[in-house]
Amino acid sequence: MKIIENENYKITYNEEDAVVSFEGTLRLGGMGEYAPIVEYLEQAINDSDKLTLILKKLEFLNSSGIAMLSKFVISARNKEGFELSVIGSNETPWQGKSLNNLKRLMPSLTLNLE
Amino acid sequence: MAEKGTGLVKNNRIVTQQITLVVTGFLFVFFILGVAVKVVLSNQEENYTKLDYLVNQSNAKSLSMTKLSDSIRDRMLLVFDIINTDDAFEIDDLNMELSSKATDFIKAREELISLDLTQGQIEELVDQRKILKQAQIALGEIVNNAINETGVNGHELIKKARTVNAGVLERLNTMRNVQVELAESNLSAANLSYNETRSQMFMLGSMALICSLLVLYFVIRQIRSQGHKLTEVMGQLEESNKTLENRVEKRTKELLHTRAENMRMGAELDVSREIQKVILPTEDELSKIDGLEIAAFMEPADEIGGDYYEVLKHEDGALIGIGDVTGHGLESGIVMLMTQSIIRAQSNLKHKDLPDMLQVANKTIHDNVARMNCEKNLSLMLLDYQKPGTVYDVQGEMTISGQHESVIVIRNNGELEEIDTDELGFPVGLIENADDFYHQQKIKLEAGDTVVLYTDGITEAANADHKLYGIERLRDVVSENYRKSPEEIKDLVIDNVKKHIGEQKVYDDLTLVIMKQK
Repeated sequence: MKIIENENYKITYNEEDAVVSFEGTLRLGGMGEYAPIVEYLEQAINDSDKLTLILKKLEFLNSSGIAMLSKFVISARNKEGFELSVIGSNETPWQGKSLNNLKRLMPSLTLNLE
Repeated sequence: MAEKGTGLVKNNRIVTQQITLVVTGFLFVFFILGVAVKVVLSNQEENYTKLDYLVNQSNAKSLSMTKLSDSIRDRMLLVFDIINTDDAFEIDDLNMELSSKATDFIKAREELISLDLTQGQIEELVDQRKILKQAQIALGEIVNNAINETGVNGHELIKKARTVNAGVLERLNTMRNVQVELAESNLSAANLSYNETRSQMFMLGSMALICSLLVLYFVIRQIRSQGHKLTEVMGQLEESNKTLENRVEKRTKELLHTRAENMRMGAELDVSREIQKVILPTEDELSKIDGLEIAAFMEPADEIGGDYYEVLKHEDGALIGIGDVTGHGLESGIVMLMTQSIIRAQSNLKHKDLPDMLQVANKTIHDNVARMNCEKNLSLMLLDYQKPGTVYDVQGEMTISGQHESVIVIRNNGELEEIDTDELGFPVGLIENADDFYHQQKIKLEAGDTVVLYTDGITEAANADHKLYGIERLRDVVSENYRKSPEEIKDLVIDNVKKHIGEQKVYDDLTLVIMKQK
């Protein structure tokens, strides 16, 4: 279990179950600041052939964050047979369109909007 | 500061306490020493007085006893002389001397009695008196015989008197011995008293010494703990001074930075608001579009959001665009400006394909924001309007491409259609190659059909309770007023949105475009 957190957000990587959970609001400035999170996600791709992203409790993700997620989905798409699941919420305004766009980037992605 | 003040007051109190402790301690020690000296002096004085008295008494007793012995001896000798002389005159003289010796004896005895005698000595003297009486009688007889010249039994009487006197002398000797013993016992008592005084003095001295040591110990301990406290306080003071200095320095820097930042932000805001307004299509341009009646509204938020709308006339109608750059501020404004240029540049091409235009826009924006290192992207929708007589004879045609908010169409019979654009595009500039994601959709516009374009600034406008304006309210207002002119509909919608927001700050740009097929 690895955790990145501050007063605004908490990101947990459960290596055993291959689950990365996001909570709170992520407004990091630019890709540079998202680098540690990207490292997590890249590691998750290397560690296993599947991964679940739980975004239900991520209330806000800024455009840099969405760009980061999109780039991650593209690299997941490039790894053959990689199973990616995303669990989001219809209650959170930013998620509907953005998560659907992720699925369009990687049609094999399993998207659950709860 | 208040804390330090209290600390100083406390410190002063501790110093006062210490001085009081030291003074009290030494006063106490002096008091004990004074008491010790007083006790010793008075004891010694008493001893000396007692000893003096005893010595005087003893001397006086010895003197009286010696006088007693001497007078007895003298009388014995005188009796001898009386016996052994025949001269009557001499006998008279000797007899007188004998009487005077008797007086001496009585005087000496009285002296002795007047002295401080023990009970034994008094009894001794009483006993002596009886014996002396016998001796007196014997001596009296001898003397009388001598005077009468009888000479009868003279020697026998002397023998008797001598025996009696020897007894008296022996008693006197005993008395003297007793007196010596008494003096000795008094001396030893005096010695004892001296020793007692000495031990008392030693004890009091030790007490004073212990008290002095205790006072010293407490004072040293207090001073030491105070020293520690002082060091601690000094440390804290130094620390807090340092912190204060750092804080002042930091705060100064912050203030300077904030001021600079505020100035910069103010300037940035002015510039970006200007960019957004300066590039908008003019009222005049809008009025010159064939086949369409257009009303547009755009109000940048306090911190501009990078909303974009465009109406470009071409010979067959117009190219319309609407978009929303992510985030706020100058960078969003710049991306919006770039987008406008890219679209305008391509609008001049002979062959216009909306998905192609969006692909070019996507690649261009992507590469530029990568250079800017800001990861901005935008929702962008392009609509190509073909006036009646171009595609259709009497109807207009609207080709829609790109991902943005839904397009609301109210038909001339009041029927509302909503076109979801999610599948028509992809966020522009988000990924390098999104070619596969841009598609287009065409709608036919009858006269009186209204098309409503908006940005999320309208639907996500929040009131004080964080309640969003929402797509439903927008639909309702445009549905209820579909017969009105685009200008009127635009005003009604904006009024309604503003009413919803109330006193709340406007967080995002508000953009609304109403187009009606003539």
